[in-house]
Amino acid sequence: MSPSEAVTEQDLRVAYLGRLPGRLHAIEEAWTKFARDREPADFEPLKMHVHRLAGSAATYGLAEVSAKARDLDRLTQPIVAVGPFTECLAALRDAIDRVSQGETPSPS
Amino acid sequence: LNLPPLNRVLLVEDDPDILQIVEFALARVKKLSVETCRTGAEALERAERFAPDLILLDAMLPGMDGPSTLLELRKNPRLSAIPAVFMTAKIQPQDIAQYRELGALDVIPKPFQPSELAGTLFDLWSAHHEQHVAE
Repeated sequence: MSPSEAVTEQDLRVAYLGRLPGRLHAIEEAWTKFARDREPADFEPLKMHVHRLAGSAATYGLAEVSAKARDLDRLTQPIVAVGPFTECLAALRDAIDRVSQGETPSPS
Repeated sequence: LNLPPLNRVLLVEDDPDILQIVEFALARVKKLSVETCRTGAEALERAERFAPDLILLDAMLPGMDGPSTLLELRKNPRLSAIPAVFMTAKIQPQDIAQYRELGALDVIPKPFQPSELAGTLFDLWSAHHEQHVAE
């Protein structure tokens, strides 16, 4: 890999980091809606957001964020338990806060 | 052995974050043209126009999922022979058995190493054609 390609890949990681708070917000919003209304139709967006984050974070080299999202992903199959979901969501929030506040991901 | 060139890849992926990193990873390969789409329905339409050499397909897609998309591709005589590779986190033995039954070339598990993706695709492409020659 040439240096310029390495920089570009790092740029993609930084851009992904910038999108993470939005991805977290989407999960929190979907979770709030589902936990409040218990509408089966609200479950699919929640599951999709969590599953996507688990996969993409690992691909961008963010192992901890991916692991926390994976914990949530497991809880969305097939029944959501409110207590564990809330705890795992908090752990995911902490992990994203840490990487957003200065932890620069190293190239994988 | 003269392998046909792998020049055109159709990427079917609904997650914009994955789409971006895959496009980047494949853009490193000169002469490889990549078209992207986000749904199975779009893939069926795009494959007709783009005539890909290979289709890289997510399993979990909104609406028509990846396996159903491949099934539809296989029903079209103009598209049925195009090798397809699933790229997915759904890799339980029963999932993999289903992909193979549908005629998928192989499965690239998610998460994947972006820097290794192009090499993996070319290896699968070579193996596929070597197997055809052997048969």
